[in-house]
Amino acid sequence: MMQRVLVVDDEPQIRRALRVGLTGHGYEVTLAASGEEALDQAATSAPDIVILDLMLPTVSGLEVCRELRSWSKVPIIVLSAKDQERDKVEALDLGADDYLTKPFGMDELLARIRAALRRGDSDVPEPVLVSGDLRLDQTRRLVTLRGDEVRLTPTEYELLRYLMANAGKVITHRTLLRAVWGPGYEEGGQTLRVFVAQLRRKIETDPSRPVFLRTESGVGYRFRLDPS
Amino acid sequence: MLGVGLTTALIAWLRSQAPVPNAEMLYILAVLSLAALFGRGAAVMAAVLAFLASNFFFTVPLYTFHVADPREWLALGVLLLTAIVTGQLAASLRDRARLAEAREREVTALYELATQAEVLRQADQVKTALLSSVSHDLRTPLASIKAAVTTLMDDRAVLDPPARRELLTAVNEETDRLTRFVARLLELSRVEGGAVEPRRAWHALDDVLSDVAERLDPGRTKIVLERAQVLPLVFVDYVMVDQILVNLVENALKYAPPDSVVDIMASVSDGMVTIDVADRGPGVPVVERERIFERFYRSAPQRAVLSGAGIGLAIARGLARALGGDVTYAPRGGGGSVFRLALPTPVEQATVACS
Repeated sequence: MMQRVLVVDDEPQIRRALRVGLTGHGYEVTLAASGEEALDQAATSAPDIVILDLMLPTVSGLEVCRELRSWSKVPIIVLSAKDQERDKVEALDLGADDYLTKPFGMDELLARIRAALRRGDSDVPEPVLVSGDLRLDQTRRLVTLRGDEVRLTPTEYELLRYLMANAGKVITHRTLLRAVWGPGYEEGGQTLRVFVAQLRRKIETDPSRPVFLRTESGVGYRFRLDPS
Repeated sequence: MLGVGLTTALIAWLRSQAPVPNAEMLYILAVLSLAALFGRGAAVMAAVLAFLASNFFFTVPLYTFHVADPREWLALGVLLLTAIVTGQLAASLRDRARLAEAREREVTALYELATQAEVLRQADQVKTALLSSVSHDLRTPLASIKAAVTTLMDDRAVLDPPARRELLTAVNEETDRLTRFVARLLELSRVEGGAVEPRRAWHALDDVLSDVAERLDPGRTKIVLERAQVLPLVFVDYVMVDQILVNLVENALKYAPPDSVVDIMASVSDGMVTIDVADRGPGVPVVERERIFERFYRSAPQRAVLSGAGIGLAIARGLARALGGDVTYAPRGGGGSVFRLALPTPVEQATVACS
């Protein structure tokens, strides 16, 4: 079955380029030029994924994101300009899955779409999370790297579990802090950095050049999705 | 010292008028006011002086520091003590008042600093807004170009000839858009840098107008000359006036409904030529009527809807001012906007009647 992509951008030329480019890769493309149209389309055409520009007239991309998330789990990739860092992080906090900064290459967008769609497929909670040589068995609370057990503190384990369960997706600092430490701890950026550094020492071959747990600078973290 | 002296004189005078018991209490008043005026040291000194003066002048035997009645010692002691204590109280009150004043000055100074910081911050905000607007106008076409080109380069993409053509058209149009934008940026910096040197000559006013209307959109522009038979000659820089009008008419065409007509009305009087570019667009809210002439400014709802850099009006005004004139905004009766170009110019009318 053809997968459906909803492209939301107020720039006609971007819509045009993405329509042709995505169609050329076998996707079925629907277009929306405004936030209102986007919400209409999302409701009627049931897209498998939404590409959402943040800078829209009247109803902003952020509002679309919030509204969409209130009733749908469809993956959302937001497009932003370099000077919209804050909006981008907010969109991710609101539940967007990934972001791309304009201008971007089509290959990059396609890779993000594939990753987001793959994640969307496996919505069922898995007892064992795997990324390359790293395995996390949720039933036994056991983490192994190349077959050897990795000893983790409860917080480190919870952090790794959340990251692996959302592998491939950008997780903002706020979201991570809230998920692992609980509501009210969203401002503990320093604590998070310390725990991430500890975790990297235990799972990365070279903690200064992490392979599994990547930093998305100024935004948050992304755990490697593809075992390669 | 003087205070105590005066009080002594006052008490002596009171005593001479009538027997006043405990007139020495007046010293306390003096000590109190001295404390309030000059502080703790003055208060203590005054109290001691009052004690001595009272002893010298008003206790028997008079005019010696000797005291006959031991009860008088008590009175003098009480006077001294009361004077010192009230003096201290008044002085500390004064200190507190001073402290409060100093705090107030500090707070005022801080407030002024904060205000200055706020002004700087606002200037920064304007700069940031300008930058983000320019970067958006540059990045948007770049994003379309990049997306189109990377698709064209991708061997795995299945593109039929029309799809290919469409992507190439997007690239072509977007590079044109970038080129226009860069040209206008340069133009603006030239105008704002004062590098424009008017080259004036005699030109027929309606030539200038029809030239602009012809080039832009003859179907949607209508030239209305006040005195149709007389074609006034004006002494202006043709290229500059042309550019001002192009910017004004383009702006009007952009904001007015697609099927509406933009009127260009010209009139000449008293060494002034006035050209109105009037549209039936949404008009400009009062708060934005000056801001629309700022560089990169676009009214909020249009910003995302209309492509364009928000440069045109700034260029038009800059050029008009370089010619000694101005471009101003007025709402149009019945809805819409009027952008008025007013230029000082000598006018020659007789020579070209009915050319």
